[in-house]
Formats: sequence, C-alpha cells, structure tokens
Amino acid sequence: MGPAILRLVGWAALIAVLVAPQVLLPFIAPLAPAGAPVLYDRASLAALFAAHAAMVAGATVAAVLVAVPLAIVVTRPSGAAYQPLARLLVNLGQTVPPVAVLAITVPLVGFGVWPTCIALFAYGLLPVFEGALAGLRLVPEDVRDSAQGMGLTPGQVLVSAELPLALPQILSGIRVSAIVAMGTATIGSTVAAPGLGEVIIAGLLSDNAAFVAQGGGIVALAAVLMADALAVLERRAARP
Amino acid sequence: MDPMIVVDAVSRRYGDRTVVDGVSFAVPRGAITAVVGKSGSGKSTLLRMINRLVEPSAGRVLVGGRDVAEEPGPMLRRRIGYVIQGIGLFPHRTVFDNVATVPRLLGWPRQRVADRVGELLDLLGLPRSFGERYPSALSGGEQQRVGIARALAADPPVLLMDEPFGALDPLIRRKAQQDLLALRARLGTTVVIVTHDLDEALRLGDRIAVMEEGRLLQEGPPEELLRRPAHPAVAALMEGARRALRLLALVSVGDAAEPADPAAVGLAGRPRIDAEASLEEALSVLLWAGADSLAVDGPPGGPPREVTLRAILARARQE
Ligand SMILES: Nc1ncnc2c1ncn2[C@@H]1O[C@H](COP(=O)(O)OP(=O)(O)OP(=O)(O)O)[C@@H](O)[C@H]1O
Ligand SMILES: [Mg+2]
Repeated sequence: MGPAILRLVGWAALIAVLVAPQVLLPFIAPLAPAGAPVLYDRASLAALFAAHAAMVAGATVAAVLVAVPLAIVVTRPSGAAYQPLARLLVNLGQTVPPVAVLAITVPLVGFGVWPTCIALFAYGLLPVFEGALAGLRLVPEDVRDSAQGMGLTPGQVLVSAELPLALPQILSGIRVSAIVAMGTATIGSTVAAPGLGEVIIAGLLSDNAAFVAQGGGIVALAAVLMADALAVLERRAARP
Repeated sequence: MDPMIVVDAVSRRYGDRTVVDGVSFAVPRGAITAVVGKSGSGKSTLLRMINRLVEPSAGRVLVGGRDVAEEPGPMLRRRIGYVIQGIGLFPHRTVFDNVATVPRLLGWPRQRVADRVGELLDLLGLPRSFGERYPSALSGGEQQRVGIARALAADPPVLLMDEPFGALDPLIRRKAQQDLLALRARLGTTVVIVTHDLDEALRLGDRIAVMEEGRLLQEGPPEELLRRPAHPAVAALMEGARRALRLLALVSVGDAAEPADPAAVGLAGRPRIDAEASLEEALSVLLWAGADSLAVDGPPGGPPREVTLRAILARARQE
C-alpha cells in the first residue's frame, strides 16, 4: 500500500498549500530575506494554480485533438504519403523553443494567456503524435487483418481494435506532453499570463527564495501528482 | 447442384508481377476444397479474393451464385467466416467478446449472442468459463479454436481458412482436423482451406487444388490427383513412391469390407479393425499380424464382415 499512501499524502499536501498557504511558514520562513514577506501576497496561490492548470489542460487537450487525428490519418493507407510532412510540422513545434514561440506570437495575439497556450500546444504536439504513431504501428497486422476479414468497416477497425490497443502509448505521449507543459507554463508569466511562474519570477526579482520555493514547489508537486495519475490510467489501459 | 463458390478466370497483379494467374475452379455446396502449393504460390491471395480482402485484377468470384463485387466488402465478409494464418484474436477483448464480434455487428439481441457464443464454445470443446478469459491466457491450440469459433459465429455458409492448424502440434492438429470434418458434417458449411501439408489436404479435402507460381496446376478429387496427375509438379507433390499408400488412406475399411461367411474358420479369433479406420491402417494391422484378412467392427447390428489383403491391394493398384 506504499504508493497509495504516498499518493494520498501528496494530494493532501497540495490541497493544504493551496487552501492554507500559511502551513508553509515553518518550512520556508528561513528562506525569506529579513523583513520581506514569506508568502506571496499579490494574488492567491489557489487562483494562480487554477490559471496555471487551466493553461496546461487547455494546451494539452488541443495538442491531443490535433496530434491524435494526425497520427490516425498518416497511418491509413491513403494518408501514408503525408507522414513525412506531419513529422516535419510536429518536430518544428518541438525545435522552436517556447520562449521563441512567445516572441513570435506576442506581436500577433498580444500579451497574456494566448501566446502561452500556443507555445505549450506547439511544444506538446510531438510527444502525443509520436506516442499515437507508435501505438498505432504496434497494433499487430494479424489483428487488423482478422478484424477486416470479419467484416468490420475501416472505421470500426479503428475504433474497436486499433485505438484501444494503441491507448497505452497514446496516454504515455499525453503524459509526457502534460508534464512538460506544467513546467513550461511558468514562462507564461514573462508575457503576463497568470500562473505560478509569477510567484517564481517575483522571487527572483526581489531575491526572495521563499517565493521561488513555494512557486517552484507547487509546480513540481503538481507535475509529479499528475504524472502519477496519468501513469495509473496508462496501466489500466494496458490491461490485460 | 450449383456450386457454392465459383472462381472464374481470376488474376491478381502487383505491379508487373502476376501472383494469381487465370485461376478457375468451383467448390460444391458443403464440400471442402484444400488449396496446396509452395510458399509464395498465391494461395493466400487466391483465398483473400473470395472475400474481397484483395480485389481481383481480372475475372470474377461468385459466392452462392452472386458476384462478390456487387456487395460492399464488409457486408460480404460478415457472411463468410475467415480464419487467418496468425489467428488474430483481439488481445484486449475476452474470448466471449471475440467470438461475439460478428453477431454484434449484425445487431443480434444480447441473449441470442450469449446463447450462440456458449454453443460455439461447446462445439469446439472449450469450457464455457473460457469466455471470461483473455486470449493471452489460452494455449496456442485453444486460441486457434477460438479463432474458428469466431469465424463460425454468425453461421456463415462459407468458411475460408488460411493454414488454420499451422501452429498446432501433430496430435492436436489431428484432433482439430477431425473437429473440422465433424463441424462440416453438422453444419453443411462449404470450406476452402489453404495448407502446406499434403497429408492434411488429403485427409480433409473432398477436392484438392494445386497452385504453382500463381497458376492452378490441377483441381479435382484427391484420388484423381493421385492416380492421374496432370502435371509433373503435381506428381512430384504427391510423392509418386508413396502414392499407393496415400490412395489407401483415402478409403475407409467399411467401404472395402465384404460379407464374411460366419461358418469360416476362426472369424472370431482374427485381428479386428473398426469400419471407420482407413485401408492404410488396415494394411498396417495385416502386415503386423501376418494375417490376410481382418474382421470388421461396426456398424452395430450389421452382418459380420471382413476386409481382405486382396481387396486392399486391389484398391492401391494403378488403373
Ligand atoms: N500486397 C502485396 N503486394 C505485393 N506483392 C504481394 C502482396 N501480397 C502478396 N504478394 C506476393 O504475391 C505472392 C503470393 O503471395 P501469397 O501470400 O498469396 O502466397 P502463399 O501461397 O499464401 O504463400 P505462403 O504459403 O508463404 O503463405 C508472393 O510472392 C507475395 O510476395
Ligand atoms: Mg499464405
């Protein structure tokens, strides 16, 4: 029961810190410079976390909605020709660093949530696409063949055989994408997107390590808990 | 009676290679046709043109008198059972759900699906409790039987099998062959079975089709192929030297038995053989016992019968 207890403790800690940040006082007070505030006070941590999580969720869902259908299209016989193109586009999203994406998008869509979401989305496409592609490729040819041989239409083969069998790999891609997004979303604060990055940056600007610790700590804890939850889903999908 | 399957001048080309070349034959209703030939001779391609998993480049295929090209592939395939070489069970579904695939596609009510799956598990000698298992929890032979049950689920009048018993050890393979014959006897299913194994083809096939490099060399009853091979390659495949024994293997003791004189000396003391056994087995028993006739068992209630060495030899001789 070790993992279950750890999981429980982790979630309890996250909720406690968000609801009542003062529980952190004994731990991080020594990090704050004399006379400086220990707890971030310009916005509530819970609100910042919610905004942060919403960006991560939105960008990841968008990446899934684009990357999974793309992987499906390029694994159909009629779409195989587009595979190199799809790879190229998706890799482009990964090669351009999110900071550069921000620099490009801010002039186009202005400051705030949107440029950040676009950067996270572009950055998150590759893991989801590659996961889905690997999963769909791993579906045994025999299974596809017998499904078709029994009279399933191509759509039915996809829904009742290929996608369920590819699900573990798809989820694994989503997990990687979401973890990366959780950390990367902190840079959104440089373009005025509300999020936990704000706390970290405030700490860096005012030399207040207590701010950095609470902002970074919450992001790290949330990333670990989310990764764990998605890994559980993944294992469940892989059964039997 | 009109044949169940007609393959009419069918060809398939890939690029400039012709892998099936002008093949024509017919499978009578309720018959088993075994397709044999070397690896790459086009057997699977031929089979897959019957259910349109492969579209012919030329020629046409009729199933039940209808051109298969007239119907959408998926609809056609729901009426034709297909057992692929690799079984191809859905690993993420239970045995029950695997077998239920086609009935559910056809929209059968839940109870009818459940009844049918139970019936098929019984028919193939699988405990009903296997329904809850996943394919990975079955042996290769059990998986193969589930594959066959799945292909039979919607009572298809036609069953296509591509080396279905390839993965089985000889004993289980023999059992699976007997099961297939029993199944055919019970359901009247028309079967086309691809196999590498000539003995299997002779044992199962009412007719045998020999393929080589995309061409059909000869098609007909086993005895005809053994006695009158139309092509040197067919003769080679039938292994000329063992031809006589293969002929004997095709005939049952019952068919060659003669009424025995109850007064004849020692009828009761003679070695016995079952009427269902083949003449090849009878010959072996005779040789072993050093006798020149055997008493025949069964069918019950009939007059006493015997099978003689002379009768056996007559069946094996060149015409
Ligand atoms: N989709 C395809 N594209 C190109 N060539 C193909 C295709 N399918 C089959 N072939 C070729 O056609 C030939 C016949 O293949 P087929 O699978 O029908 O042989 P087979 O008699 O079933 O062989 P085996 O006994 O090894 O299963 C082979 O040379 C094969 O490479
Ligand atoms: Mg083959």
